[in-house]
Formats: sequence, structure tokens, C-alpha cells
Amino acid sequence: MIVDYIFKNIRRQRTRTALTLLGIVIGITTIIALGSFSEGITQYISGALELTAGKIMVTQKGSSGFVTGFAGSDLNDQQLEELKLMDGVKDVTPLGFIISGGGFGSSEVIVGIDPESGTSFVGENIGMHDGRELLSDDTEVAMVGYTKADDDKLELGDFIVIKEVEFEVVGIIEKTDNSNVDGSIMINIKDVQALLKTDTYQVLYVIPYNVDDIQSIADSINGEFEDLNAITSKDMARQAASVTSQIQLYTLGMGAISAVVGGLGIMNTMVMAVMERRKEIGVMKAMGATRLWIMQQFLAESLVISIIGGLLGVLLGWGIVTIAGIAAGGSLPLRVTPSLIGFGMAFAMSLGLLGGAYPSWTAAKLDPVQAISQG
Amino acid sequence: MLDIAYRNVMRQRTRTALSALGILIGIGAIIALGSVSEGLRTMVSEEMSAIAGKVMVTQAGTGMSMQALSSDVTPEQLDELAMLSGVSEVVPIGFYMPIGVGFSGVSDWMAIGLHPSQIGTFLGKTVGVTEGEMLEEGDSGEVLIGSDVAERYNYVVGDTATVKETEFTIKGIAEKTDISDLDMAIIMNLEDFQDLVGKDSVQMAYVIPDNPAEAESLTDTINAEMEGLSAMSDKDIARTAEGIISTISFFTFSIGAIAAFVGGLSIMNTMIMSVMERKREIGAMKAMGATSSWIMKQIVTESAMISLIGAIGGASVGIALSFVITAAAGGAMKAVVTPGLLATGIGFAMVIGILGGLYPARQAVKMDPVEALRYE
Repeated sequence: MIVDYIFKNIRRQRTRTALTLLGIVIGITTIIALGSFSEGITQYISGALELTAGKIMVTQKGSSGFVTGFAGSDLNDQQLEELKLMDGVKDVTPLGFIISGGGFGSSEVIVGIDPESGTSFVGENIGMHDGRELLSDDTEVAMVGYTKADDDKLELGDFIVIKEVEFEVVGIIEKTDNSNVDGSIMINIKDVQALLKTDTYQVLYVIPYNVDDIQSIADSINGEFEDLNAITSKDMARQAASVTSQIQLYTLGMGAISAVVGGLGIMNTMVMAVMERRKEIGVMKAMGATRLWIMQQFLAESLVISIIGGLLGVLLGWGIVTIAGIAAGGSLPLRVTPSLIGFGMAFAMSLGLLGGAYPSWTAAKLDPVQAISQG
Repeated sequence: MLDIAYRNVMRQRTRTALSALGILIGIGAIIALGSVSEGLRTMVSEEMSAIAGKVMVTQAGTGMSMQALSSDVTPEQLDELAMLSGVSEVVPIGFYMPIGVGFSGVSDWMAIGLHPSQIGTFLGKTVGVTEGEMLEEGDSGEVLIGSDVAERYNYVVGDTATVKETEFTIKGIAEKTDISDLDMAIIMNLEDFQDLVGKDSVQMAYVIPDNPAEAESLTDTINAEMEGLSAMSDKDIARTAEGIISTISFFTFSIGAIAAFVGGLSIMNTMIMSVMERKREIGAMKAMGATSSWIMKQIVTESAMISLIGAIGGASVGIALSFVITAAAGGAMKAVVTPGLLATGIGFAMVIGILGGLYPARQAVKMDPVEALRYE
């Protein structure tokens, strides 16, 4: 293969190459833009899972899940105390959730924590950016995450309204880069109970002394308590993985549609290139060029087009995602990861190879005599 | 002109097929994905029939849908609503939906607490049972179940359905209505429901105005006068739902449109090549007196024809896929290919075909016949 020759051929038909390139660029851009959405969601969910690492989540059997704020899960103080007494359990911390907001998609989750044992929900080593942490006798005060404070321009002493009740902001949590914490509003669990008119909890987090015991403790909770459901951080990770891989499949699948059409464009271009250069191919063959050499030559051409298109598509997609992220003010979970870029490039290159395969095969099997005489 | 165009298009079959295939994929995607959003639209309009002429009231700050789960409307507030002028009836609704713990999917059933006498008002029409008997005022420990629930869990009258660890006897199975509030529901007496959740408040209420036309003004009155409550009229809800569906269908259309656009680039390429190959021919036509607009039309017709072939293929593939989607969804949704959707897909393909042909056509027109005839 002679690199010079490949580029010379690609430049022969500038308009055609440009149009083919544009097709690949658009296709890969779509993959990156849509893929960034699923990467963002995956990151958000894994952030949520980080908070549960090494813990067991206990809810009432048959109650609702994370999406609806565990509605209908009722756990009482007695169950909390019983869980605390189990072998290997270091602590149990209750959580309550209130979902509020104006309509679809704009909802907000308010987390109720027990200030005495609940700091482990946020993470033991996380401090405050400003103000103070919640105290156990606090009422109608809240601490908010860093980005939440930033987005809503909240300062200490400001008020936020939750279910018609005003809460004073007393603390802003330091930036953690975990959007579940950074975007959160946390209040005393007693306030959640008052707002929900209940004296029960929705979720209990069981923290073991030894993380290795997590599965056996979860099993014994499920065995001993008939109406409780305990799942470990590993179970949750497994459930989350099945959800995120589905989202990934859909977004990348939809993104791939236009890239595939771009691949057809490469094939079309290469079919035409082979046809135009029949004579040339004939001469090369007559001069001793092997089939393999000819095939490599044309495959290299289509691969070069697809690599250039892939690179430009990745850059353009990245740019669009960045602009969209800024325009949405952080409310869209968009993220371009190395693996997404890798996927985009690999997809572009496989389009180049597949699109070039048929035309280069036709070129390789041309009969030199016929090719030269018929032109 | 059409037969010349057809002959030219068929001269280079591989090239034409590849260009048309690109359009086919794009239009196929527009129609298959679009059929999903059209299906959602049909589904929602059926749901909307249940709420027509009503006002939905929830606790302020809790919104509609999933968020209504943490909404509380107290008995006192229900009484106040009933006393507002222009209100004919208030339907208190207890609502509970289980979801697999963690991140797993949405539940396929929900529990609804109602006064049995208000079931008809709740659904906006009278419903009968296909098996057993209707739930009556005063029934306790008994439920009416929707047809989808009955089918999915193979329930028959007399079976036991468990809601939040409590067992209920199935008294009747309701006829299918295409309203998910019934078909996917386990309906129990409001008193049973309140015992179950341990609260005397309800999650929401429908307020029925004396005159359906006054739903909008009644909504305003409730929002202004009743502190702590938030009201949405049937029109507000329809607007919200329509907004979401429009977003979805715009998104799905864009996905297919981008692919079709890329296909259009391929058509343009093909036409550029075709014009170049036919330089002599075009020169000869010009020399024999063909006008510029005739040549222009000829080339654009050809590219539109390639696009149309692709679009017809795409429409067939899209329709086939919509059936596959409906079958795969297993009754959860029905993908619908509407005439409007077909027209959008094919129309879009034609626009792309015409646009893709314009630049090559201009090149053909610009050719100097003398030079073109000399060209080899």
C-alpha cells in the first residue's frame, strides 16, 4: 500500500468525498450525542449506587420503589430496633422521601435523614461547604447540595417550600461530584414524617460492621422478617445495570441508524470509484499487482474516509453535547466518556471496512484484459 | 419524461439501490418510531375521555402522575371542595402503585380506593362486569379488578388478590375499557383503602362541575381560594400530555430524518456521477434544443424517483416494524401508522430527493454543449 496514492485517489473527486464524509460525520455525531445521554444516566445511577455501597436497603415487602419515593413502604421504630439487634449490624438509619414538583420530569426528591445516624447516607467524609449539618432536634430547616444551591441561588438563611411548609437553609454540602448529593435537599426525617402525616419510615439502611457480611445479613433479614425486603448494594447494582444497558441499547441503536446510512454512502462512493478506475486497475494487475494488493488499496481508501469522518463526528458530537449541556444548565445528564468515543470510532471504522469490502472485492477480481480493453 | 427518468435510474442498478436503501432506512425509522408516538397519542386520548369535564385536585406542590402518590387531600378539604358553588360532585380517590424495589420497571397494576357508587363518575362512563358482580357501597375485603390485571394474573372471581400484604377477595372483573385507571386497577372501597394505607386523607379528588364547560373557571377558583390544594382542568392535563407526546414524536422524527438526510447525500453523490457520465448525452440534448429547465427537471425527477423508491420501501418496512413492535409490547401499547405519518415520511423523502438533485441538475444546466460533446 502506498499512502500517497490512497490520499491522491480520495482527493480526485472532492465533492464526492466531501459528501460521503459528511454522511459519516452526521452519523457518528448522532451516536455521540444520543450516547452521551445514556452515559449521563448511567453515571447518575452509579452515583446513587455509591451512596448505598456497603449497605443493605430494607423496605416493606410489596411497596413501591425509588421512582415513586418508596410510596406505601411503612417501617416502624420497632422494626428499626429489631434490625439494630441483629448479629453483625453496626447501625440502622431511617430514610424518608417526599417527591414534589409541578409535573412530569420537573420533580424534586426531598430526602429525610436521621441526623444522628444519617450522615453515613451522604458519606462519612463529606463536609459542609457553608453553614452546618442537620442536628437531631432541628425542625423546618434543610441542608442542600452544592449544585442545588448554585442552580437555585440559595444561600444560608433562604427559605425553600416543601409541601407548603417553609424550610430555612442552614447548610450547603460541599461539592461531591455525585449528582445525587449535589442536587439534593435534605431535611430531618421527623419533618418528613410530619409532612406525610405518618410516624413510619420508608426505607431503613442497615450498615454492617464488616462489609463482607452484607449478603448474609440481607439473607437473614429476608428469612427472619416476613414483611421486609432487604437488598444489598450488589443486588441494586445488578438491577441498575440491566436498566442502563437497555437505555444504552436504545440510544446507541437509534444513533446507529444514520451512521449505517452513512456506511451505505461509503459503499456507493467506492463502487463508483472502482468503476471509474477499471482501466487503471487493469494496468496495475497487468503489471503484477496481486488481488490482495488491489483489495487492500480500496479498503484503505474507504477506511481513511471513515476514520476522518469518525474523528470529525466525535468532535462535532462532543461540541453539540457541551453546548446542549450548558444551554440546559446542568439539568440534562449528558456525558461523553472515553468508551463512548471508542464506540463511535470503532463503529465508523467498521462501516468503512464493511462498506469497502464489496467494492474492493469487485476490483480485485476484475479481469485485466477486459478492464483495459473496455475501459 | 418519467420513462426517460426511469430508464436512467435503472442504468446503474447497484448505485441506485444503495442510494435508495439509505432513504429506505431513514423513512423506515421515521415511520416505525413515529408509529410508537402515534400509538401513545391514541392511548392518551382514550385516557383523556375519562377525565373530560372534570377538575383534578391534588395537594399543592405535588403535581400530577407519579408525584400524586405523596399527595394528601384531607377530609376537611374534600368537604370544602363540595361546598364550592358550581360543584356537583367530589370524587375522592385513593391511589397506590407498587413498584419493584430498586430501579426495576413500572408496576403493571395499581390499587384505587373509591366510593363504589362513584366508579361511573370516576371513569366518565358506566362500566359493567364480565364476570362476578360490581363492587357495592359497604363491601369490605372485596375488590373489583380490571381486565388487564385479571388476564395477567389469571384471576377469576373468588380468587384472592394481595395488596400491601392484605388479602382481598375478587368480587368482580370489569369489562375492558382502554382506560388504564380501570383496566390496570384493583378497585376497593375507599374505607378499605384508607385502612390499608393507614391514613384518612386521599391522594387526589376529581371535582365535577355542574356544567362541564365550567371546568376551567372552577379550576381557577380552587387554585385561588383553596390554600394547600392544586387544581388542573381536563384541558390543562390534555395540554401537558400533548406537550410530552409532541416532544417524543419530534425526537423520533428527528432520528429518522437525520438518517434520511444522510441518505439524501448519497443520492446527491449518485446524481453528480450520473451527470458526469452523461456529459455527452446532455451536450447532445442541449445541442438539439433542450431548454435548461427541461434538463433541470429531468435530473431532479431522477433523484426524486430514487428517493421515492426508497420511501415506498421504507414505508413498507416501517409498517411491518410497527406490527412487530405491537406484538413485542404484548398489549402494553399499540403502534399505529396513521395516514398523516405515512404522508410525512414520504413527503420528507421527496423533499430530500428534490434537494439532492438540485445541485447536480445545476451542474448539468451550466454545461457548455460544445465542450460536453467533445468530452470523453
